[in-house]
Parts: sequence; C-alpha cells; structure tokens
Amino acid sequence: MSEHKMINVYFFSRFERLAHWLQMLLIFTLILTGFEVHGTYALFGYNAAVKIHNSAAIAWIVMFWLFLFWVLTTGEWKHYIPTTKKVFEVVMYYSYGIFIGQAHPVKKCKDAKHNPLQRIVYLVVATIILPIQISTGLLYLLYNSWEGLGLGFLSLRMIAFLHVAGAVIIISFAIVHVYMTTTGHTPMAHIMAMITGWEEVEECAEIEEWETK
Amino acid sequence: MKKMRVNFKFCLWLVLAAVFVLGLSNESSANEAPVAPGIALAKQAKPEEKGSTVDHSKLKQLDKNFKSGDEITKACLECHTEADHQFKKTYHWTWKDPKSEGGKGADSVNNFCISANNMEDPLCIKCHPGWNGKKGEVNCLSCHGQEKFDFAEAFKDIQDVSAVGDKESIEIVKGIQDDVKKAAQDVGAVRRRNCGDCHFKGGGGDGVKHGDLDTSLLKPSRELDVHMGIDGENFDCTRCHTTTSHNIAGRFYGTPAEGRHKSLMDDDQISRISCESCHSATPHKPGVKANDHTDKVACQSCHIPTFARELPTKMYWDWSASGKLKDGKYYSEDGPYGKHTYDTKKGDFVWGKDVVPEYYWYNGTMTDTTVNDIIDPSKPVKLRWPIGTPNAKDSRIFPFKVHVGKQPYDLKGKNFLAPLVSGPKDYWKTLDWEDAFTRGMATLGKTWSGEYGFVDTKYAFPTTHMVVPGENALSCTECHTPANGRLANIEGVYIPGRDRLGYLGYLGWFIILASLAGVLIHAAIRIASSKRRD
Amino acid sequence: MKKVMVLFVALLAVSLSAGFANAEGNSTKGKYLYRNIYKDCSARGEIPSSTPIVSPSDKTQSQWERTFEKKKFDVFGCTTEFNNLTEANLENIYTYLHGHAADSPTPAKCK
Repeated sequence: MSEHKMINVYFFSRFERLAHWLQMLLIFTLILTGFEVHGTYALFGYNAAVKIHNSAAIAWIVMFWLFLFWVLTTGEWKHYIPTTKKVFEVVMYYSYGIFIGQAHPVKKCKDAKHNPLQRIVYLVVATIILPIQISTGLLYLLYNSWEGLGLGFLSLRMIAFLHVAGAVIIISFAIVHVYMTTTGHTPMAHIMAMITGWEEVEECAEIEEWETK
Repeated sequence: MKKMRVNFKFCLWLVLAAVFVLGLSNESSANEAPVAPGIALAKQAKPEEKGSTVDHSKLKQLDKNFKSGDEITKACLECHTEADHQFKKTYHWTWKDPKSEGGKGADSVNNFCISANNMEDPLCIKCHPGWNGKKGEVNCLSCHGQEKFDFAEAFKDIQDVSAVGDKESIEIVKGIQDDVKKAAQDVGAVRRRNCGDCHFKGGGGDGVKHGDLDTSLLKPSRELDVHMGIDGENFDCTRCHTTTSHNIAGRFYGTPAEGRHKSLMDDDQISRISCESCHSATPHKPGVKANDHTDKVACQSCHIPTFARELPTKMYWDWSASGKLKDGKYYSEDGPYGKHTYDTKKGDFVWGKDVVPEYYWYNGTMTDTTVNDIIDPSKPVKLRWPIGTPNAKDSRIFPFKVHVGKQPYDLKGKNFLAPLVSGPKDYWKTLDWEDAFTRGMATLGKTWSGEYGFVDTKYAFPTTHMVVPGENALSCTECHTPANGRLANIEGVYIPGRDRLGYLGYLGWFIILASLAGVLIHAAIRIASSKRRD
Repeated sequence: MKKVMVLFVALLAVSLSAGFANAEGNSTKGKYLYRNIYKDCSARGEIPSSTPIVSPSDKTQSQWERTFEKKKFDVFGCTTEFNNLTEANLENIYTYLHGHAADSPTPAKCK
C-alpha cells in the first residue's frame, strides 16, 4: 500500500513505557474507586474506596510530576509542541481517509512520534484536564484547611462537580485513546510499540521542520 | 542520555515503592499504636477521685437525732454556709429559665405529662430537691447522700411508732433515728445514682423521656457508654457536668449546650465539658477522613449510632385515647418490651428500643413552647426543636430523639392546655379533662375558653449520652449512600455518595456513552470498508 | 351434714375474730419489727443479707391471711426470731404485710 520502505523504530524508552502503564493502572484504579465514592455503585466498600482512591491519587500525582520532569529535561517536550499544520488533514484522515485505505498524512518518526492531533489532545489533557483533576483532588483532601488557605469561598459541591466532570472527560479520552491505538498499520502495532518500545513504520525520509521545533 | 533514562526509571520505582510502603504501613499500624490523638488526650481524663478532707461521721453537728429534713439541712449549713443561697439560684431549684417565661416550673409544655403546673403537680414535685416541695430548705442529701435513704418515710415512721409509746416502740424509734443519723452522715460528692434518681426517670418512669438516659447507665458496659462503662472509664456524671457554685453545667431552655467546643488545652477552667474539651477538634489519627467531618458533623452523630440500646424509651404518647374503661374499670394493655401500649389514665403509647436518631442542624439551642404561644393546629407542632443553620459556623448535624405526642389545646385560644393530672382530685382520678384544665391553667394564673381539642406535637431531645467505643461508630455508608441514608434529609451540605449531580450527571453519562458509540461506529465502518477493499 | 356446716362456719368465725383478718396492729411498728427480724437473723449468720426474704407484695392479702392463720412461718426463714414474737407483734407484722400486699392499694417491696 505504500512504496516506502518499512523499518523498525525504537519509539518508547523503558521509562516511558513503564510510566505509561503505571499511569494507566493508577488512573483505572482512580476511576473505579472514584465513582464508588461518588455513589454510582458499591464495590470495595466506601471506606476502602476512599483509602485506595487517596493512596492511588498521591502515587499518581508523584508519577505525573516525575513524568513531566522527564519530558522537560530529556527533550521529550518537543513531541508535544502544538501545531495547527496538517491538523485538518489528520482530522480528515480519521473521519474519511482511513476508511478508503489512504496513508496517514503525518508519518510517525523517531523525532516526531505524535501527529498534530495527538499533540493538541495530549497537551490539553496534560496541561488542563489533569491539573484540574489534581487541584480539585488536592482541595478535596485539604477540605478542612480551606479557611486557613484563604479559600473559604469554595464549596464542596463545586469542587466535587469539577472533579467528577474531569473524570468524565478522562474516561471519554481513555475510550477514544484505546480505540485509536488500533489504527496503526496493524491493529496491534501501536499497542505493541508501547509494550516493546519498537514499532514497524515507514521510513521517514526527512522530517519537516515544524515537527521538531 | 542513557544514564538519564536509567535514573528516571529508578526514581519511578523508588517513589512508587515509597508511596505504597507508606500506605500499607499506615494501614497495618492502624490497629496498633500509636493511638489517635483524641484518645491519647482524653486518656488523661481519669475518673474523678475527690479525696475528702472531712469524715462527716465525726462532726458533732451531725451527731443528732434529727426529726425533720430541715433540721438536717440546717446542720449542713452550719459549715457549708453559702450552699443554700447558691443552690436556690440555680435552675435545679427554680425550675424557671431566668432568660424566658419557660421552664418546667413555669409555662413550658412538653408532650409527656404536659406541665408541672407551677410545681403544684404532686408527682413532678417529687423530683424537686427540697424537703417540702418548693418551700423550705434544700434537701442536700438528694444529691450528696451516698446511699439511697427514704427520709420522708423514716420521719413519718418515727412519729407513728412513737405514738405507740411502749418500751419496744422506743427501741424501734431509736433504731430509725440511728438509721437517719447514719444516712445524714453518709454524704459526699455527687454520684451517678443521685442524678439518675430524677434524670434517668424523667417523664414518670425509667427511660421515658430521654432516649440516652435511663437506669442502664447505673452500671453500664463499655459498649453501652464508653465513658461511664464500669469496665471502661467509669466516669460519674459530674466528670463532664462540671459545677461552679452549685451551678451544674448542662443545657436547659434558653441556655444552650456548649457551643464553643473548647479544648481543655485552650482553657482549663472551661465550665462545660464537651467532646472537644478532652478529644480535641481533630481527634482521629492524622489523615483519617473523619477529621474532615468535625466542622459539619457533631461527634455524637457517628459515635451514638442508636439510643435506648438496653432499655426501651417512649416514642409516642396519645393523650386523646385516654379515659377508656373496661367493664367500668381502669385498665392497661401490655406490648413489646413488657411496656404498656395503653393505660386508661394516659392513653396510647409506642415504645422503642435501639432507636436510630433523627438528624438536624443544631447550634446548641432549642425552641421552647409555653401555654402562652399561639399554635397552628393544622400540622404537628414542634414543641421543642433544634435551632441551627446549615453551614453556619455555630451549627453542626446532631442526632435527636423525637417524641411524638397528641395533647390537648384550647380550640378557641389556639394555645396549649396544662392539666393537673397526678393529684387526688386530678385527671388520673377523675378522668375529667375540663376540671383538670381549669385548675391546671389556674396554677399558671391562666384561664381557658372551655373548648378543647387534641393536636399532634413533636419534642426533640439532643442525644449525647451512650457514646459507643470507636470501633462501633457508624460506617461511612450510613450517610454516604444514594438512597435512604441517615442524612437523606439534611440540606445545605454536599455529601459525596449521597448527592447526585442532576442533569449534569446525565450529561456525563451522555459524553461517556457517546464516546463509546463513536469509536464503535468508527470501528464498524473501518471493518466494513476494509472488507470491501479486499 | 348441717351440723358440720354450722360447726365449720362457727369455727371460721371464731378463727377470724381471734385471728388476723382485721389487721388491727400497728403497721409501721410491724414494718420495723419485720426488718429487725432479718437484721438480727443476718447478724446471727443464718442468712447472708439483712434484706427480708419475702416482701409484702410477694403475696395477696388472702394469702397473708392464710399464712398467719396457720402460723406457717417457714416461708420467712429465720424461724428462731419468728417463734420469739409475741401475739401482738405478730399482729403488727401481719398488719404491715397485709396492708402492702400485692392486691393492696399500696404494694411494697423490701429493698
């Protein structure tokens, strides 16, 4: 389907893979226990759910900052620079081209492993959604110190709403994210890349300048 | 670059390991030491051991053949010169609230025996701590007598037997006088029996009024009352109900319960002991979520899961059913717990045991209703009801026993009626409401229209005794549950697990289901189109 | 047969008038005499506590009547003390017990 040469590329370092799957595990735990605390169902028992949720949340916050630090110090941040270039093409590809066997408009390269849509979505999740989740979660934990922190104007209902709303967006993201991983050149290609680090992709002749800045 | 990667992975493992080890060790040590700060603090509060410097049996003032209660009190006052002046100013003596027209000895009404009729109801006055009702000297021994002794009977018997006059009778009289003397000398600090003689039996019998006060507290187990349990801390009432100049700390009418919730660390002269005085405002172990509840939820709400756990308490009293005769005679019917469900004198009863409280916002004060208040008989009248504002700094969610009654009121004046019931010419003897109202209202200096009806009433009691050991406190889901939780009716506070987000919640479900549907449709088209291309 | 009946009624009448049915003793004195019996009795060591074994409200008035007519004082224990009582004091005790029997207006229990 393409005349380009296929090569094996090592995309994800061991740290990145480990961090990814641990995050997945923690976020899954947080969702599962979080909605028990919200009263959607009973599973672990309320008290246990609260304790697991709090422990997992702290572990995940620590992980998130460590990951962020890794991204910033290793140059990985370059993969997350947002761009509007080719976004339209990417959207068109996923909503039409993919069905008729077109090639992806942006190749996955060693130095540019995320396409423009991924960049925007990951950046929004990492800089808006997750911080909202972290800050509302911490506020939830610090409930009795609001007065001392000058946050007496807050209401638990408001915080709870934002936290649940964040969770809904994360679940929605997770559903789409998991599905999108099946859109590689084989359904398991992207998933295996996150397990082994390696993925077979078309060789990138040259990377366009906007992708590496 | 490679070195960096290894370091990050190492950091990651280290951090995660640390978090989980900390989490687990916190969890496993929860059952062992260190104890919660609230318990550690409170452990310093030992049962009161008031070593007396006086042996009253050695005092010449008490080495007399007393012929009346007043004589005994006069002997007490020879040394304790200010005691009666102090005591006669307190609510225990006046039965009148200094701040209002309320008080059991004044115009207030309840839905038990309704009114003490200005202390003229002979059964009510039995609990007045004087020798002769509201007149005469204070009966010091009703609170300070160490063993129960019926002085009234003894003094009457001395007269009766003396009248016989033979040698044998003189011996007997001497014996009674010795018993009186011994009882008068056997005085000391107030014991729980002294308080309980009246406070355990309010409303005319054991556990009738307060669901959290009855004779089971004379010798309770730790499970019944962790503070008073004889196998627990074994506190007397006065350990918390502290006293200054015979003013005993407690809540009555216009006087609120302790609302300042001070710790003894803040103020060691605090006149009223509340939970926080000994346990602090964050009594649970650090990090335990219950500590975050103390601003809105009173300790009692979780730590007194039910009241009347050993002995039943009265929950309902319908006076309108009273007065029925069987074969022309008074009768009664027995029901559960061996308690009457009907009594000709009093009407219908419902008793409850191990009762789940009702919960309301409460700032320590209660409303009070008197015979002077105009009522709305179209709905149940709240005779006595907690005052509190959701989320106000002074208010917290608090457990209550609510006693429901049906009692007489003046149809025309729309005010409550205060019948005389227990005396020889009163309702229980005559079953004549109208006469009981006329003479009863007269004791309060009031008249009535001559037409009466019965109205539903509710009377709330704050529940604060019978605190269970921590391990028996309520579990989270008693309140954090979507339906029928204990706090289902509490407004003004967001309770996770109870409160739903309404339409926004449906919007959440829509977003999630739409995402799911979107990817499924996308996948279906992908599969279908790839097959067609093949 | 008639003679027997007459005799029986006569005997009953005599026993009633001579006996305790009238309860004309001094109840208060009876109460303390009764209490003292048990005080003395426990001092002697026959019973462990000085609380009377039987309370007035343990029997009905007619039961007390029969007990004292037949002088069956075994129920009380402490027979030594009971045998030493004079007729007048028995009458006093009877008056006390009868006056506070279970079916009396003022049933009483010894504590």
